[in-house]
Amino acid sequence: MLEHFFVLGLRPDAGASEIRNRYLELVKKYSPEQSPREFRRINAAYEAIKEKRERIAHQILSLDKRPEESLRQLARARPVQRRRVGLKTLLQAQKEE
Amino acid sequence: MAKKKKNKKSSIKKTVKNLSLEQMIARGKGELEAGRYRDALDLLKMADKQAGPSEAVHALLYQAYLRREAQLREKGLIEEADIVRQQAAEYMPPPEQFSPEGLLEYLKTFPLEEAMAGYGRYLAHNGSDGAAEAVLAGQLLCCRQWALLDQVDEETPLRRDAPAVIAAMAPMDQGQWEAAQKALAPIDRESPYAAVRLFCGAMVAFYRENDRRMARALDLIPPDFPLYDLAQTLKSLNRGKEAAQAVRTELPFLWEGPVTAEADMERLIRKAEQGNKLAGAKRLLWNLAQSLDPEAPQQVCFYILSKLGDICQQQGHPPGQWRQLTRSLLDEKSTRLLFRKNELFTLSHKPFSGAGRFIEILEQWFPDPDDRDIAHAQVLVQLVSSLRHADPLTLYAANTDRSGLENYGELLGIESQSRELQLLEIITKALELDPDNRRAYELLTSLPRYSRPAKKRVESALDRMRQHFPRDPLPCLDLARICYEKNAFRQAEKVLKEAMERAPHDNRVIDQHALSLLIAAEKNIRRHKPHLSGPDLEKAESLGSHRMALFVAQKQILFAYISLGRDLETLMREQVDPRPGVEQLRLLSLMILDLQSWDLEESEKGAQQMKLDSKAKNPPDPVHFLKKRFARTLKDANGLGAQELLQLMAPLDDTLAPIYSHRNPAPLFIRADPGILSRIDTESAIPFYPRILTPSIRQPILKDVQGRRKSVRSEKFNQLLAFLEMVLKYLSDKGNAGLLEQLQGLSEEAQGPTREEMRRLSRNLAEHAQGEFAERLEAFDFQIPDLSRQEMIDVILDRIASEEGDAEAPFDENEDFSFDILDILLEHGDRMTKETFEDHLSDLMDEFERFIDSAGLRGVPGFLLTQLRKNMGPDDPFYEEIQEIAKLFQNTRLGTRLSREARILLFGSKKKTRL
Repeated sequence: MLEHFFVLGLRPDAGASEIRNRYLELVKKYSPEQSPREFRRINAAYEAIKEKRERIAHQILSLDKRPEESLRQLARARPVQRRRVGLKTLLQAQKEE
Repeated sequence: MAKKKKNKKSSIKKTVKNLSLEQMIARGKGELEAGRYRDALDLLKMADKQAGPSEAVHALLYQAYLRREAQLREKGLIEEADIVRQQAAEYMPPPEQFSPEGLLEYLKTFPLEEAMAGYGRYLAHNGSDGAAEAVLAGQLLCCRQWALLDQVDEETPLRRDAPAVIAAMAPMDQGQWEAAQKALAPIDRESPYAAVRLFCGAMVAFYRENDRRMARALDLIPPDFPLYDLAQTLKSLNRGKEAAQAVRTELPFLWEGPVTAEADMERLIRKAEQGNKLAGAKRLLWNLAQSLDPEAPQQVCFYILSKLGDICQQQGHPPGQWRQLTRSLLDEKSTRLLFRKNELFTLSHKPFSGAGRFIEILEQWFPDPDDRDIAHAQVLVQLVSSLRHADPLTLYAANTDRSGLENYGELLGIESQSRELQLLEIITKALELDPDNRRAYELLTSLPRYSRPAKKRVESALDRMRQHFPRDPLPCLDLARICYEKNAFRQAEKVLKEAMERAPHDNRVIDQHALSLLIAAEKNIRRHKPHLSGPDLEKAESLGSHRMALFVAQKQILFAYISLGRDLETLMREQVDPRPGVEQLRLLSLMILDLQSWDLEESEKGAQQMKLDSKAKNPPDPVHFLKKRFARTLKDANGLGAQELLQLMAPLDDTLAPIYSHRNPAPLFIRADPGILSRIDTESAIPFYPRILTPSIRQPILKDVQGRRKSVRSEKFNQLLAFLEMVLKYLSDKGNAGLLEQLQGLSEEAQGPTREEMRRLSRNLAEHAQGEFAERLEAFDFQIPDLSRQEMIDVILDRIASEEGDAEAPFDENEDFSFDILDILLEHGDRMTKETFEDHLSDLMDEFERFIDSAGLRGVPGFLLTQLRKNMGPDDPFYEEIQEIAKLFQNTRLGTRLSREARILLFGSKKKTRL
């Protein structure tokens, strides 16, 4: 469940309006035509946490049949992006190495 | 160490003293080539002293100092290396005399200022050197002392191409590699700056996530380039997921986000799976949580720990290490919440206490009362859901959790002592707290409700749901089902009408409404009230339910035949013959199934009345007449495909039970055409056999299975068919131990998906077996020793008896549980009308079901109930009561309404409805 919050870039205690606003913001950014994969991911995350009941259940009960898979999804939920670094940083890193 | 070196030095001196100059030089050269630079330096310095100024010795000394300098620099002895370099400079030949290799070595060793000056002098006597300029270009890139270029000729590529590189430096430093690439466009592949351009292109490809292109560019970068090592690492990004993960770990500054999260999570999962490695995972988990959410790692920790707890539980590890890890990472409040959650789901030995304790701390967790109510309801739903699917031993644990009931009964909503009612009470409480909880609602309708109070409770909860969701037809549909169970058909129809108003186009509503009308019509046909059944059938037809259409048509034929006394042959000609072959077969099979149940169930008086009703030139045996017609139609329809046959032969849905007491048409088809099964493909046939199996068609199925085994080629099908054959043989020839061994062999032989399919097949076949063999099929284990079975019985009996220390505790415990109605029935039963007698018997049934609940016998495995029954001797007063109750069912049909547990206790088998 926590992974869905991460996919939407939200804090785990985000409220209903915050979730909705963020969702709308993201689907505008990642339209189904241009980024179908990202759109599906965002949509699935939103569907999973949009209900208050589900969010509360997530907070108190998190038993699932495949906990390993949930943990793996959590590790993948926060995107790992390539950081823009300049030549100086690269040279410095190489020197330190 | 110093002493050792000194000794070595003096020994060299002693040895060398006797050597000639040539020998000394040769030996120095040898040491140099062998990589022993220090020894080479000692020898060459002595040769230099002996020979006086000699270019050859100086050249060798220069070489030796250079190598020694590199060696020291590599060891990190920078200051020492600088001193050695200064010494090397003393013996350096004039740069214009450098060989290409010597030049390169010189340029790589000396600081850029000196190197550039030296290269200037070299250029004055030689042409430009590409490799040397590439080295200098790399150094310029690092030091950015572009002014030094003034020392070389303007036309030299190193100086000529520099302006483009200087222009690209600012964007490169800012990470604007695309802009830098544009600035570097004038650089050609021969330029000393070609590697800079290549690297810039690789970085552009890297940020475009085109790793293939990046790797191609990085491949061309020469080893002299200052970022060569980084380029080599980065190249691996293109070599699969694991290599990419390694690159991310090695060059973390090139990524942002949880770079190592996946690898760390895998390590953590492995530790949890091993069970005994978790306690030491504190740092790993904390770092992981921080990388996933640097602002609130505590919440991530809580979530991960919760899942790790689940893994430990599933693997059956003791929770000690997990608890230790949890305590070390979470604050007290979170730790308590997690531990209590764990208690709730393990159901430990006191499920009610666990849930109650968990609910108690929700107040701290959810200050908002609405949120707290939702959370409270969630816990209750989870508790019921877990108990519903719990194994018998856990159910006994629930039964013995008296302190839980006493301390937390109110929080859990439990008012009664009956297990059946308790679950319903908990779920009703959940719905009171959170009326929108769909899961609670679904659970409510799926929980067993045998007794009248249970039905009443569900009914009132559904009624509330009906009002709470004014547009939802589902509460009405479920309410209608309860009305059927109570035989309140008119009330059911009223509720269904409301459902139709709520969702007039919902097929589920239309189908259910049509079914309710058919149930009412059927009832009235049996009661000989055609004025009521006729309109109901017309109404059912007018609803236009696609799913129910054929059933409506069949009941209309039945009505015309039974109640209106129409000629069966004419009816067949008018109603059946015009239809397509598949529908004809369906209608005929339904007619036969229906009429068979009439023959079987109707009392003699009823049967006579039926004959009177159908004043007819009708055949004396309508079932025989229909069977002949059915066989003829089946023969004519020989072009039916496998899928059509599967549909026709498949048993009717259980929702049709109120209108068809016999729902398996397959025996009709197989008797009419014994070879019909061979027309179905093996893949579809294997899972189909258990669905249609009855003792009467066991032999034809066995024959079909054996026939298939002769021709089947697939190993998987062969194994599954062999398993089926053994089970069918065992069912026909009980007690054949050899077959059990063969079954065990087959189950062990099957691997992977075939084994899973065999296990499924075994479970499905279990319902056709009895006793121990049924249990073995259910467990898919044909080697259960009798001893362990007996031990299992003993364990459970001990648990039942734990309160009183007596194996018959549930009965003794309920000594005051008197069946008052039994006395009334025994005393006055023979003077009662049939209706009054059945009413009283119905109440006695409810009382008996309540007794089963309060004794904790609901859900107990059949073999254990049988054992309990056997344990009671004829001297036992309870045995006597049971016998008397069982006898009362002798002349009624009410036995079918008893629960499985009641039937086993009263009649000795779940399949019996009378003694």
